[in-house]
Amino acid sequence: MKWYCYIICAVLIVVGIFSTINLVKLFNVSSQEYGSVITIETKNNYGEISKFDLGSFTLQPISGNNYSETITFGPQTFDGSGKDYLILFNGKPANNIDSNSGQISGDVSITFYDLEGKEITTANFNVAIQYYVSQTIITISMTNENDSVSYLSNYTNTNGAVISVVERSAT
Amino acid sequence: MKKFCLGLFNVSLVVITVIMSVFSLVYVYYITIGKNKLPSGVTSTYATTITDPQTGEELPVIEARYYANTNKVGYEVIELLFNCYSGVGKQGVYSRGFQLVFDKEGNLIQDTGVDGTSDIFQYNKYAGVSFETGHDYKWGDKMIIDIDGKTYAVALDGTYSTYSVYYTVGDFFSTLWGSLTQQEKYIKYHIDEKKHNYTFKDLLLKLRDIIRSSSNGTGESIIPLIDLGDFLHIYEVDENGQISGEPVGVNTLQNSYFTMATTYSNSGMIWAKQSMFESVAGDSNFNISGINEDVTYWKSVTNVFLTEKDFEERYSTSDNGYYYSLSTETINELKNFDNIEIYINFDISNFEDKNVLGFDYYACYGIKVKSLTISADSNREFKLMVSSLKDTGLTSIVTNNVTINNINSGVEL
Repeated sequence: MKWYCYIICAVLIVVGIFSTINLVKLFNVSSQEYGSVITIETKNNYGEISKFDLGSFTLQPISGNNYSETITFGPQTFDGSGKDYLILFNGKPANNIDSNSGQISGDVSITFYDLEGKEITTANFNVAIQYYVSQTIITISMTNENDSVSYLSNYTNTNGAVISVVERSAT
Repeated sequence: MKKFCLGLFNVSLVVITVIMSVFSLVYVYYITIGKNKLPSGVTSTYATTITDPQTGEELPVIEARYYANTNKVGYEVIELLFNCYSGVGKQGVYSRGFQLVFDKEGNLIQDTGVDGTSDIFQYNKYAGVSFETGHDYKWGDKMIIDIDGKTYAVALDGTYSTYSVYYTVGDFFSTLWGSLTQQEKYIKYHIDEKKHNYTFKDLLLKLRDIIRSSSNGTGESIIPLIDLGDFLHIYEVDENGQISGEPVGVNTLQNSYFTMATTYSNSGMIWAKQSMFESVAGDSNFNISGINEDVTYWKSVTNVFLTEKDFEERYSTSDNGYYYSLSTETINELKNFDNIEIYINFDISNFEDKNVLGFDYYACYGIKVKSLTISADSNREFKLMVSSLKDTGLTSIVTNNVTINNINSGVEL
């Protein structure tokens, strides 16, 4: 054989070895699983008594001194007729509860104190919850007086905001 | 003999070369036109949570936050946070954040850093310390996570192809049915395939679509499994800390499942506190909300306002009128709450055709009261019976058209 025939053979053998290794890999593929599915409790507890974790919501300027924020959640069941309910904001009761078939609202009032124990301002805001078949809408609205929106925003940034609706006898 | 051996060697060499060439041809066949005839597999990785070695807290591998700005008062912002380890030793959690920002007009805000212009802003956080901008993550860089306690790396190194079709017009000489000299035009179609690397911007936009289409609605929620196998790939890490050169499940369909904690708001981002990095477009002082950030306080107290409706009545035949006490239901309810301040506004004028005499014995059951207002639309006497205000902490009563007859109520007025 001529000398260049040896080179051609060598090249073809090397390419062949490479191809064979890859062929083995291609034919030896198998399905594999790494890790496992875990269940983390979701914060939207569908179907249970109404509880909504709003996180650190931020009120949006609407007009003038008025601020509002709307948050939607998955559908939840609620029938406000014939029962007495309470709205809790971070575990504390709201005032002036008004509920009927598919909606409930109440006023929350939080007073902020300085280091001397003097009142700085009070954030008064309305929480309205509407239960639709496809979603639940929570609207929080307030008027900014004496920086009350700023204080409430700082409060929710630190403490978060969880709204619960409970039957009065259940508190 | 020498000639015989050489001949045998040559024959063997030719035989081996022929066999290897056949294997090569078979391989070329299977990676081209015979692709669909190959056996297939699916590799699924589940990167769900990592455990912070310093706090023991379990964190989702990825967190995302999306402010849609449908109200057009703020910025549209998409944020992604990878909770990963600082190294293969897993000594601490080094979170890596990516943020895509569109201004009020919907224009993309770019990061013009020292490394050039980028469509995304990057943030890093080590061991719970506040976020900072520093090392920029690039395509293919590995981040260390664990899956079921074993160390792996994850990298954004997915690619995708785009195809463009174009044609060229050429000449040829018809040889079969026409004359050899007849020149004809022909159109040749070409398909060009271009490979692209997925970027963090692509990944963030994909996450925006996922969050938007999720049935969880707005607010905070968890999407237990999302498949980002087109973008992210998982790599094995051996006991020496060496990261594999190719992702797990190469030659198979790769599903890279992640657990994602999401925050979704229809509103726009109007101040940096809304961002999980407490910074918008690299500005930690970003604030177009009108909200004053420079406020702080010692404590906050929730106010509870009670009215005469929260009282129950007792008819006194001897005095021919009604005495009032907080209802048992109200008392039981209030006992469940701490850190509240109670304001009572008792308006006698709301009682029609009833002779309201005053507060009954132990009317407030020792509930702490911040303020008590008793009012009427015309001058009335109002009795505070024995211990009616005992242990309420009151030092004064606000009255309106009411004269208080304090019969040892437990409060010095």
